[in-house]
Amino acid sequence: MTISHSQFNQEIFDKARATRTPLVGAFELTRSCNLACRMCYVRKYPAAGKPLSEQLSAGQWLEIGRQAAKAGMLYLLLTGGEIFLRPDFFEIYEGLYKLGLQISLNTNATLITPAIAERLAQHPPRTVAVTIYGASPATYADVSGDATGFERVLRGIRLLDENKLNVRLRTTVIRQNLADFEKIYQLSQELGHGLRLVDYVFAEDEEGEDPYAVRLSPVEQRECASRLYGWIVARQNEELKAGTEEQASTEEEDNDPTDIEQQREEPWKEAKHAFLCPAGNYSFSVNAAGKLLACLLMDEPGLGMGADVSLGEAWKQLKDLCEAVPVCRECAECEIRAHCSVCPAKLKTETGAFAKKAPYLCQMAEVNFAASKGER
Amino acid sequence: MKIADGFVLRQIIDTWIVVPVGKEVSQSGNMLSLSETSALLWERLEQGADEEMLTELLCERYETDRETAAADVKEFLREMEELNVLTRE
Repeated sequence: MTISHSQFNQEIFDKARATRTPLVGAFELTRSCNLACRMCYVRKYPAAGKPLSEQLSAGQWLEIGRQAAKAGMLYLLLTGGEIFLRPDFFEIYEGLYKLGLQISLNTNATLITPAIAERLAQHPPRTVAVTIYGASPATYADVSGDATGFERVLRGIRLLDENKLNVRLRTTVIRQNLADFEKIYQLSQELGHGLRLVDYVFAEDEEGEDPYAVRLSPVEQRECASRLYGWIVARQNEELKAGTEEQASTEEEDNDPTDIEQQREEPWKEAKHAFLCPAGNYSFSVNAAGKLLACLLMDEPGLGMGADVSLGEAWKQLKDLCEAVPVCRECAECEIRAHCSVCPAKLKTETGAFAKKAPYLCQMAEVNFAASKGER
Repeated sequence: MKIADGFVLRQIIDTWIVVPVGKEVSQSGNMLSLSETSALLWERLEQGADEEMLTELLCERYETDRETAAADVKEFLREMEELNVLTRE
């Protein structure tokens, strides 16, 4: 065969890594959001909530998309803020789609209408990732500041499903929705989807307060992961018994190249610089201000782009800047490093420095290491 | 004979991929992988080449005999038809 179907081409990822081609991108279309989640990193930006009229235009995003496609981008995540707050969303989305990009979306799904779901279905995104913040209006109010978000997210997910879009559910567990965690899982099952737990929450800014007023302690976070694992195994066993293993899926099918948290690279000891994940290797982000970054979770290293600097040119410089990011020696030499999710973005936000170990991450690694010895 | 509407041929590093982007075809979500020769034939088809012209192209480009080139082009077109990416006018 000279032509064949290609759902997920691992070979392209290997080549992109070897040649450091920007295969995977993320565009932060807006920092505006209709929710105000306690743990969201976007809230920390000074430009959060900037009027849409002052944000990059649809035409600017399409030009960035053209340059990125020319440089080698195939997979693109559109994220926010909340992407459906942009009245020109479909102008951007469909324009980018026609470039031959495989597009994934991040949304809180509360703004999905029948018209939006139907229009998406005409040019279906690769995935639509929806985060569920609670299992009741009260929890939604506590986490996101909007009690109506609960009913609206359920409606949004059902509309996406009715239009046969590839929905992926995830949840971020914090202090305010910890009691809802099992109900959130049950909700995902009732909706007919799996659930992924976001495994890291950024530290709060407030100093001197309870360090775990919002995010969970490392022990609690690990317990959540173990509980979810237990529920999934129990469900799969039930399905095996009943002979209805419909929801069992392979890792390959579940893999979303634009979900950077899923793309941890191993072995870490062979890493030539601080970035062990795809960021700065074959993945990049453009933030709402039009700045090219290795990752949206950090504001540096980054480069402005404009009429005189194309994305392709800026990417070449960004690779060099990433290589200059200092490696945390203590982390690199840590004996339980393989159990740690450390990355430059997390170190920078936890400690203010790239090369300083972060106690929260160290505790998380210790908990993970202990769990690996004591349990599956 | 022409390529159906709504497909974009892309070269990613040294790999050729066809991405469905049209309203009618994008629902499948399936990308196609092409060999370098297939990508060349695809490009020429987009420019309006017919079967005879494609055969000529292979003869010139790969210094192959006419019979082999014609068989290769036929096979390529058959595969495209099987995948519903070729329309015969």
